[in-house]
Parts: sequence; structure tokens; C-alpha cells
Amino acid sequence: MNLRQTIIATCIKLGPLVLGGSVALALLSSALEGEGQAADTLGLGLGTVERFATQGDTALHCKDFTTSWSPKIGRCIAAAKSTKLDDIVLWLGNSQLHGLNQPEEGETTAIPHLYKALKAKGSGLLTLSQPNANFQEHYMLFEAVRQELPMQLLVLPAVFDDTREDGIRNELLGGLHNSDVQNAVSQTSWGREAVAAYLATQRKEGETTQEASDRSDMAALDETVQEHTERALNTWLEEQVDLWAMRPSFRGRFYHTLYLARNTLLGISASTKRPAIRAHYQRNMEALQRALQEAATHDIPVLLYIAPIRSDVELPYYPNEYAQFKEDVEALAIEHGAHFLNLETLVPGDLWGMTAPTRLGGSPEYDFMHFRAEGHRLLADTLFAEIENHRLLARGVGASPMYAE
Amino acid sequence: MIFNSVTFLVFLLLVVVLYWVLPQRARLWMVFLSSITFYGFWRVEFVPVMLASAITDFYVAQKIDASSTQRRKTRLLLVSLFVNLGLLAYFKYLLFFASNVVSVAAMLGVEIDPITWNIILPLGISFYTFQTISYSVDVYRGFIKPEHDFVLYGCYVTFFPQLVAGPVLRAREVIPQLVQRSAFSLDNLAIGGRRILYGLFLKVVFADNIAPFVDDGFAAPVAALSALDVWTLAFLFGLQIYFDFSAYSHIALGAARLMGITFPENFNFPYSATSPRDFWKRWHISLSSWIRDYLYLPLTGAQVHDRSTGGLATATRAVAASKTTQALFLTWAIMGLWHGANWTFVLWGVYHAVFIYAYRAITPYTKTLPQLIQRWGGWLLTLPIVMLSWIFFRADSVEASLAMYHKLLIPDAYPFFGLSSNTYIVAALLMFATLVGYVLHSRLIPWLQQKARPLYFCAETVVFTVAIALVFIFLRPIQQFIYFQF
Repeated sequence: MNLRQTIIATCIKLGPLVLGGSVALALLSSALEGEGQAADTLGLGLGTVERFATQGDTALHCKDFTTSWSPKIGRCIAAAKSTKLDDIVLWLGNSQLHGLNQPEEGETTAIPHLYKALKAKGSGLLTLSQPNANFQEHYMLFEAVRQELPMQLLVLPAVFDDTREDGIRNELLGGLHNSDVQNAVSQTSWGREAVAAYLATQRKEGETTQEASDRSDMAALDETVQEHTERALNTWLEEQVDLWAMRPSFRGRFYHTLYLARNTLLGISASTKRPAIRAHYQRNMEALQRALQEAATHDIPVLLYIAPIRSDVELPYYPNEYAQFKEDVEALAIEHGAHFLNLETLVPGDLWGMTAPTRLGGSPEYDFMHFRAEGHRLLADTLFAEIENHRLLARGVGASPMYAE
Repeated sequence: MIFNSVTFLVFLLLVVVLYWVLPQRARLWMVFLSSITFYGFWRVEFVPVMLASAITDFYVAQKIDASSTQRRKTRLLLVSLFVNLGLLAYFKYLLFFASNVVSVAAMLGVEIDPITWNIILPLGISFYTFQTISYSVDVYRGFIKPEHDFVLYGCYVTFFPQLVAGPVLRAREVIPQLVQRSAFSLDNLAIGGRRILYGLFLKVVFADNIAPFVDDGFAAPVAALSALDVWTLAFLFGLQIYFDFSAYSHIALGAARLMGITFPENFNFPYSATSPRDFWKRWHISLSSWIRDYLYLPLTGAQVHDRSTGGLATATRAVAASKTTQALFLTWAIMGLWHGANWTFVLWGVYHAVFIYAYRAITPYTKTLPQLIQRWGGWLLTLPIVMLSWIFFRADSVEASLAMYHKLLIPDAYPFFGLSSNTYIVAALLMFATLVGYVLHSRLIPWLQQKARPLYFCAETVVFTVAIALVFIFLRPIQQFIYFQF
């Protein structure tokens, strides 16, 4: 074969691979510019922002243990301890608590309102919320905070949508550092999975915290020699090649695009009725039951409420399933002596926001979860009124032995 | 060392370059030492275990060949079997057998303290012990002469592309290619590169993304699942294990091909099979042919062929049907147990034995049907039966497996969805994609290659663009290969 023939043969044989690789890297490089928002805030809706309340330097409302851009729970617990108050109200929830739709200057979420009202009564307020938080996470956090602070009241929203979620997210596994909390959640299968996941993320000798939390991407290499070389190579690549460092972002955008494509092909929108996922529902109701049981055992009153939902349009749930959910929650509340409240129609339609299109090329859609400042005010006032009218703060002590100094 | 990692890609590049620049002897040493290094990247303390198996059979084979009496040859072969199966028995089955003894004793009212040792299963032990056993047996049968060059033999046993999860290779398939290095060719480079890309794509894009759905489904309480969910999980895990395992084989074949070494195919679109025999000629072909030649046929007493195309063929007329049936069930129970130390794997094997037995029984009656019906009817029956077998393979316990199978028999258990909607969507899409892939591979691609080369070139470029972009994004060792646990 002469040179020309050799070159042609090479192009034909290796051309698609080389060309394909070049085009792929070029496309990814061009996509570097359009980096999207963080995954958490994608679900917040149009014009909805995250607000985690503070009182001066004191954190009142926190998100998780590890995310670098949001308030860490440790801060909130330390802040609550520093108040030296004997009575702390713990409010757990999902993004409804930290999502504020179309905020104007000075407007806040429900937390500062309730905080002020409770402070006047000599009680503190600690609020923890995560996007799509489920009852398994609420139960674990309840146990974790109970070990640290004298809890006087637990305020817990019941959100049907969140019963579709399952498991405890990585960012909350830090709550399992206490062996009593581990023992408590290990009574369930999902709890044992979470404890195993927590133990797997524990820092090994010589490892930084960041390296420990990054280890999930190299789970298959745990305790092998390759773990070290892979980490070194990845670190070097991330420092030298922007594209490599942006891979987590690309993965997030890929999944989001798949999500939009799925919705487009199947005609799914924010208003589409979503069925309960039985297995997840059962595990979440089991977690709710455990939380109520433990609260009753430790004489901690619980204010359990059906969370507000946009009610002036058709709900994205099957009516029979949603009705069953409310019945199940109320039944558990009655069984375990919790105070039950249905607030689903509390916030009027005009105070709710819209969410970004969930289809390719679609229009903004109804946001069933996040409302404006006035809605937050309503929520805080209603909860406080309930607490006052039923003297929920007067029941039980719930002092944590660890708090006694 | 795990394939879906930057470390492996760097390692492979170095080894391939050295393979083509080093002279013969240095090249063999490089292959041997790099293979040991590859294995040591997992846990260096288990390298001696692998070498113990290799060294045993190296010397046993030479002694067998030098022996003058059949009796001595047999005794020496038994030494090989004792060492290799002994390693398997200790590392893989000791705790399983011990726990069964404790359970049986407890049923009889006798209390025995369970063994609480932490025995780590050496990576690839089920594969390399089978490989060394096959070497000794082939020498014993007179099919091959023993190798006197330990480095060359060591390259065969430890050759890194196939060391951890196959294909299970015979000595005659690899050693001649190591001795006589083929000329460097762009064809091998192109084919090897394609196979590696294809394998990485199947693993990091498909298999690793299916895993959370499968894990979620099998972790759910069986009471919360519908019969439809059981079907979905069976198909979904069937797809996951196919993508995962065939991915490993593609990368192994590709890596070897970069060095001009050709391995036999290990998968051939198994979910297009039209019968259980056809399935086992398409799934993990190297293992099924190994089992046939070294276990099944000897158990039937039939004459062993010195070549095998995989799968379990019907016995020759010289063998009694009852013996064939016994051999069938025993072989498959052992095949199941080889996959894992759990009764669920044994039941998986027996499930396939029942399937094969039933197929053999009805074949005389179906042979007269039109070819079209045999083919399509066979496929429509074989696919769901094969997929359902994966329930035993993946479920945590016999009880959970049986509970899931029981669901399928309850009509009321059908009409609800217990899993997230994405689970069903992913299962349906990937099953469709697998079947489309088969049609493309068997019909469209050969046609394009023959009749429309420029179009084929463009189409391939587009496909590789997407594949490389996705592999780039998803390449991370987040999940081990499923067959690593065997």
C-alpha cells in the first residue's frame, strides 16, 4: 500500500472514532458556558428563591449537614443551644418552608414570624427543611435533634407528594453520627440502609472531609489500592481540564433534559396526577408512626398538619389516594396523641407561584408547593394560634439530659 | 482494577504501547507483571492466592504429561482439583456451608456457634480456578501439551483483560497468540477501540443508571409490589446484568484486540434466543462451554469433544436418558452455586435445568411446526421465562424470591403500580432499545457496510459522538461489575 492508500485506510478505520471523539469534546466545551442552576433550586419554581431565616448572626433555619452553599444544621443547633432556652420548638419540612415566591424587599418566610411569636412566650424555634423531604428524613432528624436540644414541641407537615420519595439523602447522613440515633433508625430496613451508607462515608485515616463525601463516586473502589490512584488522577484532571471538573454539572443537566423529554413525550406536567408509590408510601408512613411513637414516649407534643396546597385548581393527585393519605395521617395522629390540623386550603390561590416548564418548549405551570410572603405569614399565624389555643407548649418537658450543664 | 475508571484507561494505554515496542521475551514479562499489577490494584494480598492456583497447575500438568500410567495421571489431576476447588471451598463457600450446618443443627435441637470470620472473596477466583483446571484437564486428556515456560503460562492464566470476569479461556485459545505476536494492524486498533467504547457505554450509561431502579425495587417489601412490578423488575435486572456483564466482555475483548489477540465472543444477543439451548449458546458462552466440556459431558459419560461452541447439547445415543437428566440437573445446580454461595443461585440453576428439560421433552412435537412459528413462538416463550429466572438471581433470599413468583399467580396482584413511573419507562425503553439494537446489528449494519459505506461512516461518526460524550460524562467507578462478586 502506498502512502495515500494508507492514509485513506486509516481514515476509514479510525475516522469515526477520532471524529466522534473530537466532535463530542467540542460540543461539551461549547456547553460549558451555559451552566444551569443548582439541582436543588431547579424545583423551586419561577420567581421562587431560597430563604433561610437568621436573626442577626443567629441561624434560625438550616438545610443539611454538608452542602457548601446552604446553612448547615450544625450552625442551627449551636445557635439554639446558645439561647440557653429550656424549650425549643422543632419545625421540620420541605421546600415549602424555605421557598419564597416573588419576594419583595424585607419579606420573609414563615419562620421569623413564628420565631418572634414563640420567643415572646419564652420558647425557641429551630427549623430544618430540605427539598422533597420525606418522613424517613424527618424521623431521623427528630431523633438527631432530640439528642442535642430540649425539645418542647415538634411541628411536622404532612405532604402527600413527598411520600413518593424514599431513603435519607447523603446530605443528611451526618445526623447519624450519634449511636443512639443509629440504633433508633436501625429498627427499620430503610434506617439500616441509611446507617450503612453513613458508615461508608466516614472519614478514613488521612482523608479530608471533602474526600470522604466525594467517595460515593468511587464506591466500587472502596478499600482498594486503585482508590488512591483514581482519586489522584481525578484531582489532577479536575485541576487541568475544565471539562472534567464540570462532569457532575453535565450529568445533572443530562438527567434534567431526560426528565423534560420524558414529560414532553408522555404529556406529563406539574398538574398531571401522580400516583402514590406504594413501597415508598409504606416506608414513609412507618417513619411517621415511629416519629409519633418516640415523641409520645418522650412526652414531646406533636403538631401534625396537612401542608397547604394550591387548591383553586385541580390537584395533581388521585382524589381517593389523597383522601386516604389524609385519613392515614389523621389516624396516626389520633393513635399517638398528636395534634392534627388540616391546612391544605389555608393559602388562597392568588398567593401561589408558578413553576418553570416541565416540558421541552412548554409554558410556566402551576406551582402547588410554594407561595408568597403573605401565605407564609398566614401559615405562621395559624400554627401559632393552634399552639396557643391548645396550649401545646404547656404539655411535657422533653428536656434533653445532654443539655443540662 | 476496575475497567470503568481513568486508572484503567491510563494503564491500558501504557501496556498496549509497551506491547508493540518490546521484543518477545520482554513483552511476555511485561504482560505477566502488568497483569499481576492489574490484580494487585484491587488487593495485593490476594495475588499469592492467584499465583498458588497457577503454579499448582503449571507443575501438575507437566507431571501428568510425564506420567506413564493412567492411575498416576488421575491422581495428579486430583491434586489440581483439590487445590483449586479447595481454594473455592474456603474463600467462597465455607461460611455458606457453615451457616447451613448451624441451621440444620438448630432444627435438630443442637446449638452450634456460627463462624464469625470475615473471609474476603478474592476477585476473579471463580474464573481463574476454572481456567487453570481446564488447562490441567486438557493436558490429562491429551488435547494439549503442557507449557514449560512459566512466564508464558502465567500470561495465559493472569492475562488482565479476562482475569477477573472472563471470558473463561482455554490454553489453546490464548497461548499461541502470545507466542506468535500478530503484526500491528489498524484493524485491530479500530476494532479494539470500538469494543472498549461500546463496553464502557453499556456499563456507565446503561447498567450503572439502571442499578438504582433495580436496587429500589428489590429493597421494597414484596407486599408493596404488584405482579406487574415483579415482571418489570425481572426484565429490568435482566437488562442490567446483560449490559453490565456484556460490557465487561466487550472491554476485555477490546483490550485484548488492541494487542492483536482475539478472544472468542462471550455474548451474542442472548435475548433474541428462541429456546433455552439457543440462550445458552448466546449468554456467557465461555462458561457454558466450559461447564459442558468439563462437567456435563463427563457426568453423562459421553465422549468429550475437543471443541465446543457453547451450550448444552442433547446427549449422544450411547448415553442413557436418565443419566443425561441427572447430569443436567446436577450440572445446573453446580452452575448456579458457582455464581454465588446462596440457595437462590442453586435454585436459579435448577430453574434453567427444568426449562431445558421441558424444552427437550416438547422438541419432538414442535419440530413439525412451521419455521416461522417455531422461531417467533420460541422467542416469545423463551424471553419471559429467561427474564423471570433473574428473580432468583437478584433477590436477597429464597423466601423473597418465592414470594415474588407467587405474586405472578394472583390475578388481583396485577392492576396497580408499586414502583416509581420511571422504573417502568426505563424497563420498556431499554428492552425496546435492546431489540432494536439486535435488528440493527443483524440486518441494517451489514447492509450499510456493503451497500452504503459513506452513509455508514457518517452514521457511525454520529453514534460515536453521542457515545463518547456520554461515556466522558458518566465514567466513574460508582458500581462494581456484577460478576465481580462471583
